[in-house]
Amino acid sequence: MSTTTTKQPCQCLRTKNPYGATPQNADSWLPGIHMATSYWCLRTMGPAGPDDHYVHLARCMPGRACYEQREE
Amino acid sequence: MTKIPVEDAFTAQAAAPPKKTVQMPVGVPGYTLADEAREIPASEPPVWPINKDLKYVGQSVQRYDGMAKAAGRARYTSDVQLPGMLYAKFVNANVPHAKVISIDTTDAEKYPGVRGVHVIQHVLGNAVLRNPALDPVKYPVVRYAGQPLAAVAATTPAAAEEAAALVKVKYETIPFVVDPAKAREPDAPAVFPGPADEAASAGGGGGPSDVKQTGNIHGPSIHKRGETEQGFKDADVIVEGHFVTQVQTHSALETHGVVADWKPEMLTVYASTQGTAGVREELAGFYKIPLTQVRVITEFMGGGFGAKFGAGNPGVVAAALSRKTGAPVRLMLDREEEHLSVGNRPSSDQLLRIGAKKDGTITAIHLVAYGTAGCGTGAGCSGPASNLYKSASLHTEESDVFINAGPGTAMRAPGHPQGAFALEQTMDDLAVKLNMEPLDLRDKTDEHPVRRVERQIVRESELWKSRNPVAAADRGPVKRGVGFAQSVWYRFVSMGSSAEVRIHKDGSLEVMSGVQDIGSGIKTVMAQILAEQFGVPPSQIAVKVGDTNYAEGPQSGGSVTTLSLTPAVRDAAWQASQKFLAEIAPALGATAGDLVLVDGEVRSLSGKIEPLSFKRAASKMTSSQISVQAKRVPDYDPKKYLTYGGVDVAEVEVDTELGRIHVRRVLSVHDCGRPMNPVQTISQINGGIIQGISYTLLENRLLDPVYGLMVNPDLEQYKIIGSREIPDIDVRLVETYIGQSSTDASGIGEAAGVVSIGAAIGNAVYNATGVRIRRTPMTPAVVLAALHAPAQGKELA
Repeated sequence: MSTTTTKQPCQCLRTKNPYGATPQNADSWLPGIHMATSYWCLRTMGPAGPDDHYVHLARCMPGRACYEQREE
Repeated sequence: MTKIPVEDAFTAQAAAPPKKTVQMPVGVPGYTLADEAREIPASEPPVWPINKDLKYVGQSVQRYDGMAKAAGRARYTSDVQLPGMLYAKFVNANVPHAKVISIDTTDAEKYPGVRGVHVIQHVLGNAVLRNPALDPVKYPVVRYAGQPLAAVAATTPAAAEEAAALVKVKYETIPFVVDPAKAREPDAPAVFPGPADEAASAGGGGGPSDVKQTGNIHGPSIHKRGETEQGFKDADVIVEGHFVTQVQTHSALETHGVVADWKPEMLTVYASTQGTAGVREELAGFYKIPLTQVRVITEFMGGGFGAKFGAGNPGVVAAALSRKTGAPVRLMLDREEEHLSVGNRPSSDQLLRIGAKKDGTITAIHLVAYGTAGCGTGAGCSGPASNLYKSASLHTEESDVFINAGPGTAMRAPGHPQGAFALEQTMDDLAVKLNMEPLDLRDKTDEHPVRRVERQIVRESELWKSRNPVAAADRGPVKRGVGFAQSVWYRFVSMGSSAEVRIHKDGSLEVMSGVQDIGSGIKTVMAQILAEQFGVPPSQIAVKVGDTNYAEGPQSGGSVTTLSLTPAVRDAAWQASQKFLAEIAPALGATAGDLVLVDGEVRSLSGKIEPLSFKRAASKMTSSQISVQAKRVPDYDPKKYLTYGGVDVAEVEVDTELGRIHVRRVLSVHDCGRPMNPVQTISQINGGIIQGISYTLLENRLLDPVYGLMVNPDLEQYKIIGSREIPDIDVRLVETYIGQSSTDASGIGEAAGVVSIGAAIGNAVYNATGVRIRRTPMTPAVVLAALHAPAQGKELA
């Protein structure tokens, strides 16, 4: 099953993510490095969120107990 | 660090500015150089020629701050001393998995010299627990031994350490697992509650169920291209292997840490960080204060390989203690904490299978990988398998395996040393099976034009010519071998990169950016760019970086710094020079369009005025200062030149009686776009090779399965390469132009040898002994076990 990245993640999700602006047709090779991405939570500064579950782009989505919507 | 997650990497760029068409050099001088047209913003500076026609850029200019570092004048975070400063020490968990029942700080608070204690508690933010019937516990669950729980600030380091030992933590221990193989078993202790749509221990859990979590396994994440089943049917030859790589901890000389000074109007933080902007953003976000009330300073940085992003626990805890005590607080981790709690390169356990036609055409690549990033994620390693070679089909499956150990982080080319170790040894196997020369096989399957040049350089080298194509040809107990491997990395651009250039009326020049120099030398390169523009020696340029009071710079990760920032510096310098000429033109009786800056002189194109020095010309300024700030513009042709890399050759001697591998020589041929300062680039590649050899042969985090503790959290038992193990390294830079920005620089940090040297060593060992070693670190015990394995396979998997 693939990781879904289309929803708006929690505003507290953090990653070192160096991607910045990537070439527009990078979709073909980004899958090769997405799973090498480490995440942490702004609220805990660790790999677990305030709900004690792990932090991940696919996890920190609406519906999670500690989810915070991004401020526009 | 960024709070912008992956999908926002593709956000639309700003409305297109007016354009102009220019011709840019593209290719490799001496091989493929030619002009290509680019349509670029009209405001961009003139196209630079290749390096040989530049005066300062592309030259091995002396490191800007070399003398300061050599003479001990450089002030690192750990050197910062502020009046009244307190010293803080963490209280860390000494069990691998537990609920914390209570933390009693009474005795610590009474200890002489103690000024403040901070206990880390759950911060729920805006969270509304899904299941209010479940009370959240007060403290975070302990998921690894070494997890920080509290901290003590005192007037001396000794008092802080002694008081920290007086903090009493009461645990309710939970079964744990530290062996990744055991963690994958169905009845293994669960590191995290789950799946996520079941209640979590803090009383809620919940989340989307569209990512599989089975016990301690997060994944697999599957990526497919074409049909591998058919690809293997089409193959004449199939090679496969089981590869295992270990966890590598970060061992930067300067540990993680900060000095936090929280005054009523401003929180000032001196941080050992790879991203001043990220530390500021996180502290502002954590404490809910404006960005304008946080200042982060990194004057000098003692090394960072991906683990120093964001404020981290040291940042937020030191700030909390500073606010509580009204004094500056220094919180630097010790070496043990550095091993335990601030990140590592995840392990890998890979099954890799490649199918190919007799002529070397690859028909299928299939990778199934598990890896552990401790109690974090990020153990994927499919980058090389996905991106190095042309294959008719590809199937990758990657899973994180949770264990009760410190979380992984990014570490120099995340996932790629692991992935290349498997891929490039399997390619070597394929070459053997096809009876092809390893470089010829890559020529057949690797379309990258620059690596083709790099292979040609290898082919013509004395080292490669000395390779005996017959494996295990040496008769004595010490056998010599030569191996080859390739690397790949990607072109990421940090669009927030900005710089400011100032021209002063006395003719002095300065350039400023919030970017931090993590040791790779961006300060020197910034000076070179201004030198090139104004014709002034780099040593006369004032370079100021590492302070969020300046224009925001890129965060130094993913090899983005030079390629992201230098175009902004050049654009600012160019625009400042144009404003300068316009401002002095009336005083010279000239028009701005008639004036140019050449070799440190203002000259008239029409010859109407005599040339005058830049310094004299500056005295004609009508203002005291000209200032221009510029921001990175998008790549000129972002659909081209997405990846780069290099190739490495290792020569080894394998002592088949003692099991010792000695790397004698390395030939490292790499590209990084336009080399802005070759000696600094070579220095990075030397570092990558050294770090990669250390990873391949020596480093290994050892966890005790009975107690769940790391047994070698120091630099005595955790083996790091020393001077005796460092080989002769011959670095050849392949100057490459791709026509993407006003400087046309690319990155080097990730691809600099660390990706491919492990596989090159593995292939050299095979060439020496005829035995394939598929496990790191290749310690004498591992080598001897492989050499004495049953004849069938002759390998350790």
